[in-house]
Amino acid sequence: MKSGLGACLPKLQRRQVRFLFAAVLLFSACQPSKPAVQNNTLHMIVSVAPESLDPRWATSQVSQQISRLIYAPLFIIGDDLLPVPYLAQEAIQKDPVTYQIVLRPGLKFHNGEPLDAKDVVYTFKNTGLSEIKAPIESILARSKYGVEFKLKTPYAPFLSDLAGMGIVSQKYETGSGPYQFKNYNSATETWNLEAFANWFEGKPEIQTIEIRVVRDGNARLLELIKGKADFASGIIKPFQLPALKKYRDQIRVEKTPGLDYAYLAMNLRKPPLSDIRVRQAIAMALNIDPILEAKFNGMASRSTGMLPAGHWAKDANLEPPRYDPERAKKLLQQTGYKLPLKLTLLTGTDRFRQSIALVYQHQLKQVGIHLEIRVQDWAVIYQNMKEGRFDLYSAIWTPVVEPNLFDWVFHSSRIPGADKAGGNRGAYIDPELDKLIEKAQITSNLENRRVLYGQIERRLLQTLPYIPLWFEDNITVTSRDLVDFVPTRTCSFLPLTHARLVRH
Amino acid sequence: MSKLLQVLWVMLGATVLVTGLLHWVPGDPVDYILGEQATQEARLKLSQDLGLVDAEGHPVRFVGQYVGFISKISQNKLLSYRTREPVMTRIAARLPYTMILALASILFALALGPLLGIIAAWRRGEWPDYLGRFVALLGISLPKFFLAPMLLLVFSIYWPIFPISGATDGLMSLVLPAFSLGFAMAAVQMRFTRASILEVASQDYIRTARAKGLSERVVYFKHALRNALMPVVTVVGLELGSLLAGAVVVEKIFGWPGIGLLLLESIEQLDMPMVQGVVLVIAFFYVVMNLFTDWLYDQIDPRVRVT
Amino acid sequence: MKALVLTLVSILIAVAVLGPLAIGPAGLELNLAHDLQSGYGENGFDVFTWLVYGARVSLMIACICTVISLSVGVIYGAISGYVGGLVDIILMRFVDILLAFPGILLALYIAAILKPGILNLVVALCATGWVGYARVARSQVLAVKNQDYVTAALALGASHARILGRHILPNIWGPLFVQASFGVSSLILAEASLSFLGLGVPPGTPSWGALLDQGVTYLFVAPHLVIWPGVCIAVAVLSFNFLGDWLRDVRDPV
Repeated sequence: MKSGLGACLPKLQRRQVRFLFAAVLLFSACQPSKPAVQNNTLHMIVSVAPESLDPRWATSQVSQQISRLIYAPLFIIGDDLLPVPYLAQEAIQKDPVTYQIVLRPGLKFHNGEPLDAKDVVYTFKNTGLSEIKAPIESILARSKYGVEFKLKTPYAPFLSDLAGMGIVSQKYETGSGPYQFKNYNSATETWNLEAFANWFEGKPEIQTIEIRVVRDGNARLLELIKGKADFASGIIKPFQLPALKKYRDQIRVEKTPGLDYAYLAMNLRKPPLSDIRVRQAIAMALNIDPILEAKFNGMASRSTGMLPAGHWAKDANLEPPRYDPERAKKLLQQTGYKLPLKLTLLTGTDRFRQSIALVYQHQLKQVGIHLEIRVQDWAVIYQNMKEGRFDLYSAIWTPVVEPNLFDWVFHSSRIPGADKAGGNRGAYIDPELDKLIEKAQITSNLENRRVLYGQIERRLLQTLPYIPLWFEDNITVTSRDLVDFVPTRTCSFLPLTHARLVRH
Repeated sequence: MSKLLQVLWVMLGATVLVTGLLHWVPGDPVDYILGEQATQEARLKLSQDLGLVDAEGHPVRFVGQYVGFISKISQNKLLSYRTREPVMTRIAARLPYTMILALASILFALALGPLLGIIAAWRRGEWPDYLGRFVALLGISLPKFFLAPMLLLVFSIYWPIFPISGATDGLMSLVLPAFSLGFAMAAVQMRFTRASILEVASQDYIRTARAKGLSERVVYFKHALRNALMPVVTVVGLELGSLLAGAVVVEKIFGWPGIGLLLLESIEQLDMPMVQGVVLVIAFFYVVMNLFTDWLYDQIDPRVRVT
Repeated sequence: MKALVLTLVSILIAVAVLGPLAIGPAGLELNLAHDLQSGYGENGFDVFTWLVYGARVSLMIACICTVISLSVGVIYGAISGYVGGLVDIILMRFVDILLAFPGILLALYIAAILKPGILNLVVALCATGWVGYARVARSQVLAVKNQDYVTAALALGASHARILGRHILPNIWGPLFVQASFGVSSLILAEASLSFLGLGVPPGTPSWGALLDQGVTYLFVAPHLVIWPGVCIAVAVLSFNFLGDWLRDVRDPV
């Protein structure tokens, strides 16, 4: 046991950490201490350290991906982006506000304790996550395996929300996922996970998963080339792929259509961006297709809104804003603002994103908009956008699965303020859209919801609080030694439980 | 004693300068960090954090700001604007990496530079001399931020021998950063050693030694060398500044987690207290190291002792 | 030596002054089809054009900063040396403070608290660049101020300003010019370093240092983005160092 355990779970309370310590010590004491079989260890690299592996505090994408391996959720999101039962056996909706969840029988936590309804109740009562947005009224353990959720109001995306939360043991704070936490080495920033023998689908073939943080982009490539890493999901960029071509018989590159929605957000609080014509002009001035071709080598697809193509709620007939610099110029002249119009774009310190911002700058210059690019650290941008201090910023929503995200991002009640959280950072206020969002939330018929979300997306294309850009493909780079791994659209690590390592 | 007083004065001045620049630079640091559209509450809170206004919101004069800064930093209560952890604690955690890197570079320069200089002087006008001088010229003219990526291209990408980034591979991680950082110093060492050996070799007592029939080798190692190695200490003192400043660049390229990288990260995050802390710590080390090399120089060469 | 030095320096100046006029800015426009191809940089600008314009940016900043630093430094150092006494002590103690910051550290700090931009970069570099000139000017003034022609002028009732301007300054330029040519080379390096660290010229400005920064990001796929700006910086630094060496030899032949 390394002393870094506390560090990897920084947001846990002391008491909880002590429990976890005790629990982990207990495992290590019980297990015969034989050296890990080198051949059966998957070396995974990630670009940033997960801030917590506890599902109740894991907010970043990488934290959630790893956390799901240790703390399995009741539902997972399938490739059709609808919830699929996982630890749950089935969900019965008794009335619009009551859900009865039935657990699989015989589930076990990593310490051997059985997992039952009271643990589910415990988990959801102790969540600190904003992911669970469902208006939960009460949670009750009806039987050993039956949990009843009562909602304040009808809330259609409820089961998808359940997929966002791994189940935690009430007594020992451990999980029940296919892998269990083994140790953390703070000097090398390495986490080790070990296959869980009592996993309900059977013990995973890959015995150990070693997760290492490699912050430098070039270093990540080198790790893969040298064969020191077997698995890199979503952290190798399209422009880096040519460097891997030479190693084709050693390295496999797989892509799935992504769910990460890239967009340009605008601040609607003040002129000129409060003027719809200015927003339309910006949308028409941007020529996105050449960017996708050149900067992403075609590994991204144009979006018409927040919902990805192939999503059950997507209206496939929507058209993205058309590139028309001449009309953009005319529109801008009509507004009467003095040209060139001066606007500031906030973008992160990542070189690749900065270079794309320079393309926007160039394209907007052609129609009479002077775009100043302000490079800031992501923490700074995040604070600025929460407090509404920006003209434009470019960012990504990851991943867009549940269409109720529209509520978080565009509902007028979600404008963040001193006393409340929300994703409507541009202060977009549209009573008509509010009504559509509220209606979609309480509609449980899937077909009716689809129609409503189609209307929402159409409305957003007309009013343009965001300029939709693209969905980037998920690029998973793996060693050819890894077989039977099937990447998912959600970039889940869970398919690793069905994969094998065949060392050559 | 007077040296020590001077160090105290210089550090006092440096702290005034570092806090004062933030105060006197045109434009409000609060505007810079928060942007022009900040809410009044956010501005007030940051101004209090930075010690620009007091608890009631009245502006603090520079003297007050300065005293506040010094008392906070000396009690380790100066907090990072981003992580809220004490600045000095964070710096202390990263400092060993920079010290290891700087020490390794100096050792590398001391191992390589004088040796090349001796060989070049010994074989003056022959190919080892030309080769040595050419290498020294490269060392002086190649910027660190050019040398380092070239080393990466050759020794990490073309022949993947050394890691490309980070400090997790032990000594292997240290080789390229230390080489990049120490090469310039090695080059200057080489030039100084060569020049001073040639100068000493032309002096009377060496000629006498030669005339007495001592072999060329004995003359070199017994007389010339002993006197010629004096500049080694001088060069370490002279080049220390560019070494410490160069560490910022080298740490960035190799992802070496020292205080240079911390400085750049903090600048990106507009974490002014952290930036000020790092700048002052580097200045402090520089001043102390200079004092040390002065002292060392006095010890070696009694002639230059100043009272 | 002389031929080599003069050739190198005049080629550099010619490229910086005439180069942009000769080839025009077309190659700086972005052209996504060429993104990171051989000979092209990020967003498809032409590396050669960028390097030529980079020469202009680099030399322009170095020369402006040298002129400003030299003027400030000479005035400061001359006053300090000429007046002497307490004034000298106070002025030099202030210089000691600036010397407590190694290399470009203070410029880096100033650049960090100002917004990125060419003007601010010049401010940051000048704020620390004048110190060297002040020290040289002071020691030169000390060396000549007690010479006969100065005391004679003083005896004839010349004002201090006149003595400084007519009798002392014309006699101390030599070492300052040597210093200045070394100064240009170290400013080229400092500008490149700050731009490399992202604290120099704003994004999109052609600068050798900024190009090297791109090169490090795209090391695997576009190593030419490291090699060529690196060669340019090394050659420019070396040329002005040679110039300094040559000027010193001319003044003070051994």
